[in-house]
Amino acid sequence: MDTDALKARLREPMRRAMEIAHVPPGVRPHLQDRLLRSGLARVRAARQGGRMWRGVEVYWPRPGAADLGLLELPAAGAGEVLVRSAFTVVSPGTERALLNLLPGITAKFPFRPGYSGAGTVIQVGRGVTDLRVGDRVACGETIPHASLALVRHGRAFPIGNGVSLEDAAFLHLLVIVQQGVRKGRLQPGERLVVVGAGLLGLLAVQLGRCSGAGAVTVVAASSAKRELALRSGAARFIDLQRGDVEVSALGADVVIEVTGSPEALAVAARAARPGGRVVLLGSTRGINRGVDFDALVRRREITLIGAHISTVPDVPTPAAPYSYAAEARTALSLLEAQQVRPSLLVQEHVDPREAGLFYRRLCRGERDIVGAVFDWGCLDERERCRRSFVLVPPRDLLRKGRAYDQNDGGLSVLSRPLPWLTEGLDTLPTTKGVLRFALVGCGGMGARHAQALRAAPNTRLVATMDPNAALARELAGDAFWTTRLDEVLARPDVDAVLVATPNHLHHPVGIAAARAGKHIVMEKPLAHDLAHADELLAACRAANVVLSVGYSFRYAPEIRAARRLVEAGLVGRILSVQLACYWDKPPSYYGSGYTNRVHSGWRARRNQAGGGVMLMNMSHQLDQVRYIVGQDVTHVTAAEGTLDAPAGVAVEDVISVACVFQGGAVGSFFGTCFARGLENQIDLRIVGDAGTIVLERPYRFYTQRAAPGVIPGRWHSFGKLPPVDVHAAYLAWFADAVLSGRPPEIDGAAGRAVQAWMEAIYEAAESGRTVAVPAITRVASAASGR
Amino acid sequence: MKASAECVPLLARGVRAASRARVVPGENAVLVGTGEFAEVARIAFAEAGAVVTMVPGIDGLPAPAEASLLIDATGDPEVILTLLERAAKTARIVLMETTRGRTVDVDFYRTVHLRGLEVIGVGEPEPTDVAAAEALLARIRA
Repeated sequence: MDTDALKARLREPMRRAMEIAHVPPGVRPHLQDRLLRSGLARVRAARQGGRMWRGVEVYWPRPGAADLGLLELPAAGAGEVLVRSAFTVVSPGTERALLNLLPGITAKFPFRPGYSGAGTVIQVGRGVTDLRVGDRVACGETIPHASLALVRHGRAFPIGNGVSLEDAAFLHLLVIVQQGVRKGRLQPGERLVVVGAGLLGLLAVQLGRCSGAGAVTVVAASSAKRELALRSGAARFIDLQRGDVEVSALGADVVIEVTGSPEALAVAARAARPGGRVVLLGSTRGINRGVDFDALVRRREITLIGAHISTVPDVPTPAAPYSYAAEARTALSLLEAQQVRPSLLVQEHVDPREAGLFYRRLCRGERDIVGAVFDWGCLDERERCRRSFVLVPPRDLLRKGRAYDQNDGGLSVLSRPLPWLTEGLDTLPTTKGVLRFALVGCGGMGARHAQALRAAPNTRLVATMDPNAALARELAGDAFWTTRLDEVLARPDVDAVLVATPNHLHHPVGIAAARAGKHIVMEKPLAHDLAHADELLAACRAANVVLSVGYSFRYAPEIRAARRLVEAGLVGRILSVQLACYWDKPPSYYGSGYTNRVHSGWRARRNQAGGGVMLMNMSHQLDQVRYIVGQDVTHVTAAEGTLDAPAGVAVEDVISVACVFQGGAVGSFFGTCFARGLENQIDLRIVGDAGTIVLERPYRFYTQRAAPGVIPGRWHSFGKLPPVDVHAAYLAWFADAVLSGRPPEIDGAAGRAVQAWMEAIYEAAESGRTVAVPAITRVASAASGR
Repeated sequence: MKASAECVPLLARGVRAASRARVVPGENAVLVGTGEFAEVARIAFAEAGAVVTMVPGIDGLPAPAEASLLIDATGDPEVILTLLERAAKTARIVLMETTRGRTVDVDFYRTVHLRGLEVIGVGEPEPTDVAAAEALLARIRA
């Protein structure tokens, strides 16, 4: 029974078994395929003494998706050699068409792509006498993108020392193109036009030159590949979009059409002279509508020549005297003589672990991908190639299968130690010295800051001030306390002032502190509006004092870990940011805050608080977003409401924002403080073109990039994060910056940026229009007289 | 068929077609068409060494592997399309007759590219073809 018949016979029992075992439907095709392959490899291995090999292969579980999977192969049988791949070459046009299932494609998924490769022989089967272990070979047949390949003896061609494995990896593609050039019967000195500047097109330029073409012209749909074409030996490059050259004036003796587009045939025929030959080398998938054979070929005596590789015989015949082996040997001799250099076209060496990311880009239609190779040397040796035995179970098949369940939604999260992500998140400065603080404002946040000033290793609380003497005295402990601001500002033992007053007092207190020469930690926000914030910044600059804004939650370990992920490129280009913040404030909040230490109605008044849930609470998360993505928002639209607050509250208790970031990412921010049962629930999702971060417990990320300990294409937990007192950490690093003469991490500019976002959001909500953040910034600057 | 000077222009087109088709002596050819033009084409291809089978239309086409050379002398795009569909791998298809502006939808990938077909257009004869036709006619008369 042949393999296909066996597969067909096993399919139904397997389906039933998976139903009984409750295997999720999304996993079944993958699992079935894997188990069948594994089983068949084992059957063959058992007949050969049980020896097997394990490696990895690129695997397309479904259209549009790619991953790296376990590969199991039996030992090389009679007439076979086992090759450990060094490079396999991507054929971008064909693989894009296959993975996107373009019209005319009949690929069956799961699918294993691959065309051409080269590597080293690691095992020789019976009857193979001219190859030895260690020989470098080019694989002259369609081999998969895999770290190991079983190759028929006659299709593994030894390569000379003068040929790099990377160049040799193109052998099969070179044969494909060369047989096309040959079928065009190109004579020395003849004019050659290549229509299409993809990988095969540019190889056709190189091989056309080798065949003695007089001058090679490349015709393409854009100028993107002009340089590459000229470097490949083209004398002329024509961009059809520019339309500055009439193709019919080219008068080519031979035209090689290699675009993959049916429409290109007419261009190719026009480029040929009367009596010329047009070689159809590209897989022009699709129908040519309304073909007039008279106009296309007969009247001008054009010859259309189909040149698919499958028409090249294994054994030469009178009608087809060039066998595959003959073509391959010719190609290798051209490589040896360095007359063709396909590696010139390689722009990307793809780490196979990042196959998912690479194919995502390819599927998206990134036309700049001309030449790419999978570099199997990126893998560690154990993953790339190891011996196995028929009885060793393929343990990771089931586990890996879950990743292919489209309904999984990231619930299967790997928990692996990722030291580079989690280590040092709780590090505190170790520099010597102490920064002495006065605390101004001893309400709810003041009490929290007093605690943090005592917890930080390099700060000391030396004075407190509040109009309410009891509050100031309570927080002072052994330190000096007063009800007068001028008294603390006059003290020489105060290096810095921590301002924890109501928002509208940030401005006057801050300016007074700056004029007294004190460094300032301003509880967030910087001020109750942008104009006052700018005046405060100007005062600090004039007095040459350091200003920081207390967005201390930036020091939360998950936020810093998320920043590391973005910095390491594991998310890629940021595409979207989704932030949702839920609080459940009691009605008493507007009169006495969360702690009830002070009874004052400033939180309910817009002219004193500056805003509601966004400014009072969500500003922390806006700073976190800005910190993680490293970009500012440029445009906002918004809606807000006061829906569930006590009578008289004039600030919003719910707000929704749509925004655009500098890099083009689109974001949405939502915040409310009447969310029953959802006190302090923050969900932040950041999606990039290489991965996703979800800051919602459990903190996790998904990436298609390779990194230490990370399996691309899987969800990973952040793991165990160290506990951090964010307020103490923030103050410690501020003190360290001042003592070391460095600017603090969250400086005035950072505080101002968040203030500008919020100002723009409030204006957008009020006006119902989209507001540009830079415009807000300019208006505020003018208002503050600078 | 009249073996007269009136045939020369038609025969010249046949000669040109046989020349462009690169006939290999002894190879099997199928010629689709009827009438004088098809007849002179048959003579020209036979003279070049092909073993020509004439069929009046696509219904009479033999199985694909039997001919490496297919000749259309009808100019009917549907016939041409059928030839593309049924041709053996790497076969050559010679288009001798004008389609008179009639069109057809073609999947060149599946027909021409994938099976390595060669589609050869044959236009108007040149003086050398006319001379060859005259010589051929003289031999036939003799």
